[in-house]
Amino acid sequence: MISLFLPLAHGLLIGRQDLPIPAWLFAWGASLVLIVSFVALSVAWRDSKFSSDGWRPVSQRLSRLITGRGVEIVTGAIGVFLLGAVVYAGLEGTDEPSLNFAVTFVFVTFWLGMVILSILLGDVFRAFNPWRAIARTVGAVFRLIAGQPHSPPLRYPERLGRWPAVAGIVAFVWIELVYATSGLGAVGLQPATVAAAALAYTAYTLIAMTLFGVETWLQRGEAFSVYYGMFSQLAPLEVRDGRLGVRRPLAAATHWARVPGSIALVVATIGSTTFDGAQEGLWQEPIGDLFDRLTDLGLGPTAAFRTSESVFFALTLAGVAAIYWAGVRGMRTLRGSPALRSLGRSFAHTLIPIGVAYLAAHYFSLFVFAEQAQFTYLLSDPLGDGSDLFGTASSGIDYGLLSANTIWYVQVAALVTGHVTGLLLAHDRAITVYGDPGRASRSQRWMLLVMVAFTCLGLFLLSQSNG
Amino acid sequence: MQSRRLRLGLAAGGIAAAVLLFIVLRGEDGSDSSSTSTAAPTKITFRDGAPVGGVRKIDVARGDPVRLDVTPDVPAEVHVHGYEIARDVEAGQTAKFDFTATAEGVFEVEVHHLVNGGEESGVQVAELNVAP
Repeated sequence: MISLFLPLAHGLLIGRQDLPIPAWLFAWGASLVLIVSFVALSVAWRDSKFSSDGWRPVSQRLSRLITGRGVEIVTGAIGVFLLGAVVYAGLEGTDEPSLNFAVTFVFVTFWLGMVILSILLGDVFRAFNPWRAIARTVGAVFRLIAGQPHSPPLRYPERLGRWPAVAGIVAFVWIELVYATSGLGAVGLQPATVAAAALAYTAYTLIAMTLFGVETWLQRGEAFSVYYGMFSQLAPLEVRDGRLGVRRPLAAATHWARVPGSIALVVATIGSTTFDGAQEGLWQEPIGDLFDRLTDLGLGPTAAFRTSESVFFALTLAGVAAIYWAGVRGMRTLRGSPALRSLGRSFAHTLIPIGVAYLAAHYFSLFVFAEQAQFTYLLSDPLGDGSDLFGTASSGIDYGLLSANTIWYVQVAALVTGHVTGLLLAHDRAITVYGDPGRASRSQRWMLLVMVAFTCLGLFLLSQSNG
Repeated sequence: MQSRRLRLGLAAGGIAAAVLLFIVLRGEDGSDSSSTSTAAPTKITFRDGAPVGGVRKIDVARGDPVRLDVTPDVPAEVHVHGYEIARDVEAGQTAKFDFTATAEGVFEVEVHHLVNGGEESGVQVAELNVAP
């Protein structure tokens, strides 16, 4: 039965995987992580360095140049155009996922590329967000006709926090990793499915924005805004009240997780990548076993496969959450700790760098290879119908561009860097939460275990199967 | 009391990491023997929609020659992903591949059954591992 399950590169059918990281590198990586961790334990700075981000505005002229109305209209139009291009290519283009603009654009260029931009430049997606652009245009037209701004009929229930966005992100990943693999050969994600999903999400988002207000929904429910917003907390740039400013990198993340659902969002980020890595290695046999059992019960192969994968996806998310909460519970054993829930929220942001590290380690090579396709044949021939708009339709992906060694070192470096950054943020937070550096250090032995667990899990997954 | 428990937790973490390491290191040793010799071509027969004997593993190092004969029982396109080499063959004929492994990674070899000139989704018949 196992031979039915083809290794899909993240539901994208690229036909190439990374070699698993070799044992010696795994050993070096894991040792480095442990050494770094013990050093981190012994270092104790006395004052919190990240409790305020030291934001200060850049010159008025530069700020206006980058965040001005004209720029906003152009970026918004680009966003709407790209959304339209995805829907059009998905519906009118070829069925072959790897040759259709829609699939690679949504799941690689947008989904991974926007994370990189968010970390480096801040909340770039806000400017390009097609749903924000559409809603604001419609709002402006409404104001013109009605003579007054539209006031949303419902108040957003604050206790829902970021949970609607978490649901959106999990659904997006589920489509990519579970729905796309039918189990009956290398099907990959159908471009028409991507187009349908984009249309459905557009309708859902615009309705929610009408009900709760554009800005409220962007901050709480619009999955991509909230997801990229999380990564943008690490960035050295932020637009505050319309003014562009520079701030200390990483520092803004400190207060990010106060809103309910934030822990779930970081867990979903790490859990999704973990599942993608595990489904081709660690989980492959259990998924196959459950598949066999479900088909014995009379389920069709596609339904059985999706159910089996969904179960293990849910288990992975639960497992990642369990590791984090175990660490928080450990910290709680220290006398004078805050309540569990509050403590959990105090440290959730320390997992953002781990999430970034997981993404970088798992998708670095896919991103480099798929972007070659994006900017050559998928650009010149977006529908896969033989057109050649920019003369690059006949170029291909150069798989020789990255050697296996380069990929391995990038992966291990990403995980170790994420680990160190996470420890840094956690220690800094502990000083504020626990008051004195001594107790902060003691509480941090638990966060250290959490970080070591995540980093070694990341390394372990890469050493098993490097999908 | 408190700090002893913490120290125990820390030790447990260290031990867990060591155990993990040991398992992985040991697992790696056993899997080295499956290398296919590259002198003779690897022969794969594709029958009733699946490769006979399951998906074949072909392990080579970068720069090695890869020789591969695939014989499907249907008209098909045999395709080495990544290297983007494709051969069309009639039912029962053999698609012969002879190329140098220049890109590192794990690549799929697939048989795409040709139906009325168009191709159906591919079925993997081999996994080409090109190590550095």
